[in-house]
Amino acid sequence: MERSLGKSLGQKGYQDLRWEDLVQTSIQFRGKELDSIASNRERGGLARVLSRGGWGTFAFSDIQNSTQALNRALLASEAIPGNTSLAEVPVTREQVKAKPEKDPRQVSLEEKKNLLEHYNQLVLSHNGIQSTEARYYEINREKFFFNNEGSEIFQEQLLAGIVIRIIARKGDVIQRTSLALGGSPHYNYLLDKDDEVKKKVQETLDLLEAEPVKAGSYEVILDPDCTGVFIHEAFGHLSESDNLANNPTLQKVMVMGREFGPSFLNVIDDPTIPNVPGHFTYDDEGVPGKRSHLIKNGQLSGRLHSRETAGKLGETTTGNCRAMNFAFPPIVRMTTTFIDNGPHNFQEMLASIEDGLYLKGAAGGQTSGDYFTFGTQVGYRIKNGKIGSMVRDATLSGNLFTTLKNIDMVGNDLDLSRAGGCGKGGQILLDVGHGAPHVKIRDMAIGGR
Amino acid sequence: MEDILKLAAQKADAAEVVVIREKETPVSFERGQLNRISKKDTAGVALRLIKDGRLGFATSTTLDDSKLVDRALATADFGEQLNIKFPNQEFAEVESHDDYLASLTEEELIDDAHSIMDRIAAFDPSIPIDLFITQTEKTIEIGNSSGFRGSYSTTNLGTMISTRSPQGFREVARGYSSSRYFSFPEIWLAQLAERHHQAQKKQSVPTRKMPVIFSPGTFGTLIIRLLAGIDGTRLNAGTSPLEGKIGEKLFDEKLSITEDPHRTWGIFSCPFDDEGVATAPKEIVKDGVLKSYLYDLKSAKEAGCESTGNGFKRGFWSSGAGDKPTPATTNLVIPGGATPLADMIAQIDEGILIEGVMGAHTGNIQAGEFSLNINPGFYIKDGKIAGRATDAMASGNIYEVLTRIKALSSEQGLLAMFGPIGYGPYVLLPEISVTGKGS
Repeated sequence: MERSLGKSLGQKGYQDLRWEDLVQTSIQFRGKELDSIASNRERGGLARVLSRGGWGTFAFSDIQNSTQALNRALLASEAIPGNTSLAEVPVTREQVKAKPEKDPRQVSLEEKKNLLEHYNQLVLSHNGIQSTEARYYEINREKFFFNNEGSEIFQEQLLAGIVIRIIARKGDVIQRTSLALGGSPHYNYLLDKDDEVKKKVQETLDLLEAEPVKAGSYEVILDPDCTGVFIHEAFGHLSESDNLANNPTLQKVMVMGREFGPSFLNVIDDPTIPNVPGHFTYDDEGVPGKRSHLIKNGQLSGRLHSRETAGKLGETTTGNCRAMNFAFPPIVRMTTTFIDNGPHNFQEMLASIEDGLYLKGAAGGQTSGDYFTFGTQVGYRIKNGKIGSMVRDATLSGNLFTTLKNIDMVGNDLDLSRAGGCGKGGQILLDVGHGAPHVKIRDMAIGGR
Repeated sequence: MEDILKLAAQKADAAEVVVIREKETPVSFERGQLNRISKKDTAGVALRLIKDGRLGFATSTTLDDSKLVDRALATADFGEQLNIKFPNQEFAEVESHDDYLASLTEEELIDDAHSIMDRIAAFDPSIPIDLFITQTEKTIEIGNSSGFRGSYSTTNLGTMISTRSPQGFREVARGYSSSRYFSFPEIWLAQLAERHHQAQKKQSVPTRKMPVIFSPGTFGTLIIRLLAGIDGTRLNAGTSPLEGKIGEKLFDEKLSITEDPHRTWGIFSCPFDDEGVATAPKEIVKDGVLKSYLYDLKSAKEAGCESTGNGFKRGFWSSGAGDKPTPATTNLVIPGGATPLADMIAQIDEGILIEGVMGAHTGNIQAGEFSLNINPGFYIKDGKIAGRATDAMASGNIYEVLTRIKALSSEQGLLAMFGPIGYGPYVLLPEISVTGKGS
């Protein structure tokens, strides 16, 4: 049935159809109790037509309705005045299968439950731990793509991971942190992580004794997780060309070659990196994903495109047009976005700071385009080049243009995160990867009391 | 639905089916130009069943999924121990479906959008406008093995208007949402144009404590921190700071919060929750005193009390059949005071009016902590708005800052947290820690 969907496509304008069959397994513990175990299946499609000035789309969950959905999408597109043309891409007929080392789909529900229970018990066995929210998730997407240029793509995307929220309590003080494992198609990546779990538990317990951070401007070292979220919020979103395509003023700012940061700053978006949540072969309009250098040696050198934005700006496609699931039209999104290794190391950074902060573990961020903010999980004071007492509740924020220029050092210990969810245009928690080495930034505003 | 219930009843001890059908038409304008129409007509089906005291859960996008019952049974083998009884209660009639709103075509939505943009242009034709109008119609149908059968439909019209800065970033915004058709209030369009002009002057802000006015939209960000504290699931886990605090005065006596699921044309009005439990209005905070906690069937069972009718398939990031029910609120209502917003501004020597925030979802929410990037906010100097406050944050803990409320406005707007959560006033707090780059 799915494979013949392409027959519904008409010839007016550009038309495509996506069909998605998603099977999701989740197991969750809350404290020592098994909180829920669920088996979800979602099937549905999205018809998309561009016949005039903008996209008409129609999401449907009954596969019999594909022709009707295309007609409705065509009517919608016809109502949009103007004329938009897409960047050309090759016609593609391909099948992409997930290639897990150890396939989570072949592991019994009981074994998964036991693994999760093991980590959960390990956390709870520590004094001072009040509760947990430990979740195993496994998502298998079978995605079909057809367009009226002749492309037919089948793509299987498999993702398994564990996220553990650790909640510690002492009297009225309640602190929480979060640890992610996996985030790849390989079940074996979830095994033997006791040491990592124990380390996070200790950090959480230490937070109970930490002082809230004082408001002000600081020299900071951010760990790879924090830096990854920083570059995602502070530069990644600005690289998404959908805002740029209709914005002549911003186009004058985002000129290739313009200096955005120090010469040792390199920022890359790359969906071809395997084993992280931002990985895929073809995006949701059938364009192959590729590595895009967004900042090269401190200068603007690329941006992220859909076929529409690449067409409007006369640039090549990058394969960054993604949809949260079948119910949403694809829009320009990041994949795995990271700062590449630089010339410095962590010890140098530490030694260069008289009075500052070392911040570890991201806790969510947001951007308005020119300003960004993000929370951190734990922090330490740095005094005279040495790590000192712990602080909590540090939230960073700033203007992205000035903050990128305030990057002082970029380390050489690049690490990619194992979980990442991004929200944009109502499409929340799309899988993305992010990462970086440690970086040092001057004059970083931190909210506090 | 009956087929699935019947099949499930043969293989399990109790069962519940929830079917959610949703139709949506959003029209999107960027810089005054229509650029996207993304329609949706989808369904979601959720099956919960209890076998040998264990709960199984599976979902699908169609009632014709022959494996649905088997998948739910497979999870029940390992499922949580839970002896909840699916309810079978009488429920009230609630007005939440506007036939006229449901009948609007995309052409009519587009016409509405043009008329709003024309009205803004009457104030100033040079302001670049982005506009989204979303029409939604939703039907929720629940049946369970205790004999409950219920369904209701809701409509919603959501309008979000924002302006762009000369650099092309979002400047200021106004939005409204209702289950009944509405014409966007003229006064908010006038305010949008006024704030847009005021925002053209940028003001850096010093790092110190100062009076801050939270708009209804941003006050919602503080209120969800309180909601995290009265969530029955978290109370059971011992991770709420509000355990045992019912009847205690926690906030300024000017603050009262009710939850009214029966509000006529409310954004979340409903006769029963997503577990078939009849909803009823309740006081959450009365004159600063904490009055109630929120429970769904499961957390109520664990706590040894009754569900408060707050089991909804709606989380922080998602909502729909695929979500399991957790304690959540319908229409929150915070009564306003006697002070007009203009008078609040006039009485401030130095302070900030916050109309938007970033980072509402970050930080230690359960503990009541907030640290928000002010975006957009307006710097108030000598009783007047002096320009847009840039590069500033507001931080604190709601259990401290809400003990002193200087004034609540006579104007009401939508309380919001990434979307509407209820209705409330502008709130003036006398002393909020602000981090800025100025002096």
